[in-house]
Amino acid sequence: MRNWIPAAALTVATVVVVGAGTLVPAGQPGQPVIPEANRATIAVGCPGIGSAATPALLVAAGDGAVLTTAKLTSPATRNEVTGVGVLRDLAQPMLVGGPRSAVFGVATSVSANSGPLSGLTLAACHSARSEWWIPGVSIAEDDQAELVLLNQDSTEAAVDVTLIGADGRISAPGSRGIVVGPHSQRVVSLGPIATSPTPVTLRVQTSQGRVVAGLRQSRWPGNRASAADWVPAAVDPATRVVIPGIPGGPGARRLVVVNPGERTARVGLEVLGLNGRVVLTGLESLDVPAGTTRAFELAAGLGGEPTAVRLASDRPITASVISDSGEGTKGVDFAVQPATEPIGDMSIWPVPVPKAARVTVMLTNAGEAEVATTVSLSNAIGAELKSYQVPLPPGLTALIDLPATELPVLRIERAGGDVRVGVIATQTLGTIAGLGSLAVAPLQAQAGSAEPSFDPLTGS
Amino acid sequence: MRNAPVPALPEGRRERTRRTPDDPWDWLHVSPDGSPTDGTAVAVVVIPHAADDSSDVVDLALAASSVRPVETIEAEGEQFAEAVADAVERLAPDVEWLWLLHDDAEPEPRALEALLAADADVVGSLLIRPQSRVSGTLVEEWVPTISHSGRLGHLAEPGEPYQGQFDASDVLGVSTIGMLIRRDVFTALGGFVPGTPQAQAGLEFGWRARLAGFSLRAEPKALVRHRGDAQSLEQLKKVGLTLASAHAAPGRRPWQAVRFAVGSVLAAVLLLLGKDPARARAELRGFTGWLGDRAGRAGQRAAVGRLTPTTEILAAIRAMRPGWRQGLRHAADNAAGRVADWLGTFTERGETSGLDELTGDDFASQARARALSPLLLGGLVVLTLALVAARNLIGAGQLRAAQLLPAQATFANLLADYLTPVAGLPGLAGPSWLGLLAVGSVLTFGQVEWLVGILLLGCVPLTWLAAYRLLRQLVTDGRLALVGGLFYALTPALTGALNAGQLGTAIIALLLPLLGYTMLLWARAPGGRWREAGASGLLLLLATAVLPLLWPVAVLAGVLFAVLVRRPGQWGQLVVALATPCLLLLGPGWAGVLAFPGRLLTGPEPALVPLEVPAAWALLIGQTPGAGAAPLWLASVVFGSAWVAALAGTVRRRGVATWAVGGAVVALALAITLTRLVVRVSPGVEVRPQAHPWLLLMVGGLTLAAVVGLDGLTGQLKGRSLGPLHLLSLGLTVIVTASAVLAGGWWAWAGQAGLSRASVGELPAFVRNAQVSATPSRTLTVRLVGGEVRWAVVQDDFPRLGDSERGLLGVGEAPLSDLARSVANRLLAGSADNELVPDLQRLGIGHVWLQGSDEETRTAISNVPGLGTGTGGDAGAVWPVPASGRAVIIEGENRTVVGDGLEVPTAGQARVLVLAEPADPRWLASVGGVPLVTVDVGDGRQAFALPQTAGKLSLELSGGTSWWAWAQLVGLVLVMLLALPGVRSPAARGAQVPKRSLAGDA
Repeated sequence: MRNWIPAAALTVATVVVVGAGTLVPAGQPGQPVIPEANRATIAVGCPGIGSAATPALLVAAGDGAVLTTAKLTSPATRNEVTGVGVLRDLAQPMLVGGPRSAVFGVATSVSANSGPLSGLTLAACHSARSEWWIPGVSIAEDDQAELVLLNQDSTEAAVDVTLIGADGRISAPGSRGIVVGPHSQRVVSLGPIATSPTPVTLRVQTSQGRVVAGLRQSRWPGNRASAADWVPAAVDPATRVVIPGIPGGPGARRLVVVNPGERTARVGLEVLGLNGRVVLTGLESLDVPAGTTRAFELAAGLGGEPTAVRLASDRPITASVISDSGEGTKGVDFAVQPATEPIGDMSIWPVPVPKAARVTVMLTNAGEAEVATTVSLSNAIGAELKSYQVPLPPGLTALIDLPATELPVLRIERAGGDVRVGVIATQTLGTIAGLGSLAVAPLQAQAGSAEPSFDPLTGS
Repeated sequence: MRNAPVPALPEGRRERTRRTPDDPWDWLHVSPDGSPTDGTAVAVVVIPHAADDSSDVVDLALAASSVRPVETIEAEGEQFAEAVADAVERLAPDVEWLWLLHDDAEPEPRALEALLAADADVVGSLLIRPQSRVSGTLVEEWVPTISHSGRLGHLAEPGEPYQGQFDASDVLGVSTIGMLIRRDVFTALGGFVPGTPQAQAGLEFGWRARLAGFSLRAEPKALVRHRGDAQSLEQLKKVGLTLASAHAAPGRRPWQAVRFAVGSVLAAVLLLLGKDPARARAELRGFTGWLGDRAGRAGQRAAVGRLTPTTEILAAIRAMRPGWRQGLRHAADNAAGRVADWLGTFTERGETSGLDELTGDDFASQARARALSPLLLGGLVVLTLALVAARNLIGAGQLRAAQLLPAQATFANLLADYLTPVAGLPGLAGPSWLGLLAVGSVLTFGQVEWLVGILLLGCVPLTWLAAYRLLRQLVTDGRLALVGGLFYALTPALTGALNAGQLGTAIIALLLPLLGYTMLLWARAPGGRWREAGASGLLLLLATAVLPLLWPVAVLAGVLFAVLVRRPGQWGQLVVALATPCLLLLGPGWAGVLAFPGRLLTGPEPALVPLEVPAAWALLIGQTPGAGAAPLWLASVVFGSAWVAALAGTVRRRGVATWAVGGAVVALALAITLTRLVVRVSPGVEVRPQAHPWLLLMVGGLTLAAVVGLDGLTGQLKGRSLGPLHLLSLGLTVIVTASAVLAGGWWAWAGQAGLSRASVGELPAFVRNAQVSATPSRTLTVRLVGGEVRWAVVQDDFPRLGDSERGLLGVGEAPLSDLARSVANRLLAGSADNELVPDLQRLGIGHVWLQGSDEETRTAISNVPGLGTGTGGDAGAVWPVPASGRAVIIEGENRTVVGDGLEVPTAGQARVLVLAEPADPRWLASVGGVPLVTVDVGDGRQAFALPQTAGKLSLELSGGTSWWAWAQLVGLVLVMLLALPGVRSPAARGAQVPKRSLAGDA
């Protein structure tokens, strides 16, 4: 019996040790603070979409961080802006900068009831990149397209432009090696380069440096300017793209899809409407041959409903929707809604339109789980006017018609999920039913990605 | 007083006379054909030797001789040479041969016959030791000889068993005992030289006989039993030098004297280092004795000087003397003997003895008849498993793992990493274990990677052998020791330490049983032994360098031992053993521990250890965080069986087993406690101490308890009738065996899968060259691994062993690490902000390298304003950072990358030299020999004001004098010498200690 005592005691001791170890909490290391290095800033470029006759309006809104504005040609001369900054009567490209950690958005607008910039044009300002995809560009006989390249860096940028049409790549002399000098903007008119009766896609790549690229589109039926707008860039080709903010109402809704790959893409189309997912009869599956841009009419299927469209393809594609504000060409404006990235946890976007404009915010849940979103409306001086709690079931688009507000500023928050946002503005400008759309997408710097981790064996 | 009934002799003259036909003992001398054989005029000269009445021995032996001497005469006098000469004078004129014998010598009956048959002028006998029932025929003396350096020796070691291995041969000298000399040769040479000790007189006489042209042979068939007298080493030395110098050419004697002096001093030093101060003293006294004995030297020289040998004779004699080759062979034999002795420690049973060991011949094998030794079989199995485990790890390249950085390319690099100070962290250089690794790599010819490979890939087999050797000392059943050792040895694999590349744990696993073994030998030796104390100190130093917390644990254990065992005579040795790790205090490695005390609780490279907390219950079964540990089910079986076996051992046999399990519980408690902590280590990183070394101790304690507690169980159960105990024993055996098989199999299959071997540096060659060029820069490396983006900033020859403790850019609070983390985060998150390139330049990053073709990441990097154009392909891309390096001259808006040793041009305006290194007062810079003044650039980097003149730039981080490194090295060498085996004494070399058979005694 005595021989068992030490074994029993040791067993008990072991149990006590393990038990104590289980109950005692373990210390935790302090989370490494990654200094954001306050001097680290990002800048967005706003191409000069206005003119001397029709100046643009620029609005920058942030989360309280100090933003700076400067002319592209003299970036060192900066003005500071806190909250909401408004610059009127702009006719030249601008730079707006802020801390990398700040949340801010910059947008410009032009509105005119006549002239080459007729209609309502809204454009978001973006950071420079080395590659842009712009589907939905019309280089038909009656249309004018100008590629605007903005170089916000102190080094030269060299740009190559590739046009992809319905039958493949379009030969375009002079489209390669376009040099954009430091702190300068260059406008390249596509008319003399190439024409196509159907919408084409522009692929803008830099072989040196980076640029902000956008396309200024105007319609000239019968050699008279009827409407103009900014054709925004879409997301890089992917097998799943979502185009939010397709406005309701009359007029054409033309889906333009580009397949830059080597094989035909079979694209499944889903409409994410106010009542959920819908598949359009006859448009369930679209074939886009390799290296081509194809256009598909959606108006009949959409029935004038505001909606979003989701494309699922077996090959990487990207797309836009060209929306008209009415039938025919007289008094009709147009706007282009591109495929966008999901918004971040928080986005701040100004909508640079006057009080007379009617603004609709369209939120689409492109994911598989319900997402809770909050949309707050502020005015130009930063005072919050209203807040909307919008639960979004998967596959559904929700509309928020904003009250008339001068230069409204939107603050959109989401709790996870895949939410895409489009803003539609309509305004009667003389005889023109002005239509503008703003693609709300996170600035590249704020897209968020998995935090890189240190590994001493990397590269060894 | 003689006992033989011989006729009475006249008083006062102890003279032996010729035996007469009426000698009543004549019948003893009758030859086989009936007639006695005459001794062919041989006279026996009996030299008094025995102090007692054993002088009858030679008489009895001569009476039995097959050849009867004609006369036997006793030499009288104190001096050997004079006594023999006098005896020869008194011999009858017809005596032709002289046969010298001691009065207690016992020649074999046919010895004289063999000597006469040798047909030489001088013939020597083979002296063997008096008969022993258990020891067989042992050589006492065979053919004395002398080397060119005056070192006396024999052709066979005294005590060597004689089995007929000698042949008759021409020799230089023979022993005087049993020596047969032609009387006229003796007379011609004037007999022995007075003053020559009898033991060397035969060599001296034979040498002169050779010089005079006489023949000299040694005949092994002439056996004479005799036990020789011990001579002092001092006298041996003196005589040897006297003989050697007497035979040297007069012109060479001064040179020879110098040679003798140097050789004696060197030998004394070596003997002192070999822990034999007595022999060292004898060397020096023997030399000084020779130097002072002018008369002796003169006498020898005179005797030799009378001879005029021919060149051929001199050449023949030279060939008979052992040269340096024989010395080397002798040393190699000694070394081989040492190795054999060491190998024998793996089969020695320590203090435990069975009946077989207590009876039987000393030299008979104790092995049972086995086709294959269990030790050998086990070794083969373990080695095979080790090869399987390392199947993908043999080849070119460096080993690496999650917690193992590649080894330095050369020994010099490793040493530099140990010695070179760390900028921004005063007092810090490389960790202590890095320095010891450098010393250890000397054994692998400077190849650090070989040493790392041996330690990691050979961890299990080497640890098993060491553990087996220790356990074998404690138990009688070798199988228990084999299995127990295997359990312990597999612990690093089962706990995931090998998969993670924990070099420290692998080293500790090997050191612990080695330390246990030396401590056990030390504790068992009465009065202790300095060698074991030194070895224990050395092993404790190595263990402390790897795991500092072991030192206080060892000190505590030592104090307990001193208090409980109470052996004041050993306290000095104990203090030496426990104080040896103090050597580590000299170096900056320990300064790092003092600056960051948390390092006391961790092993090497703590910054690479994951921060996950292991569950307490998981540690009980050796489960640690990470993917490298054994599966839960396997660990439960293996460690569970270890606990059960250990507790069963405490039940069966209290005492050691109970203490061992208690130790295991304490080790478990330490493992649990330490892993709950978060500590700060150099260079300011928060880490969690590893559990692995303490789990080793835990399993060690369990193994010890099980093995000691269950030893002898099989024998105990043999005589009993079948009962529950048998079933329990069987069950335990099955579980333990199954556990060992499963654990071994898992180790071979997946126990080292976390290790990989590859060449260091995946970067393009031009990027690597930029890192080590005259204008060095760093590289920000990026790689996608399973959707994760990983990064590092590399420089020089990439991160190597110990660099995480010196400070890696991007880890912890190492200077500039904050900036590095910020840059990496912003760059890879795609911020493309305006300050990225300036920040990359601040860090001295000259290139950004991305492995793979991830478009999103490429775009994010390409968008950085001011970054150069990326080049590359699908495998990777590189972006140059303009005007960036680790040393840059900033002159206005211009940046010029420079480096140590380069020419700095003249300037038209003020300029600053900025280093992408933390500011540190130890930075020294000069241009054209003119020291530069430090300036503060406000961002923590080191900067100097540059003059406008040109000159050669010199940059250096001065760590001051490296006296501490030399002191550590000297101390380490002294400890190693203390730990080395001592020089074997001639008696020990000659004594044939009973040996066990290596093959059959596991």
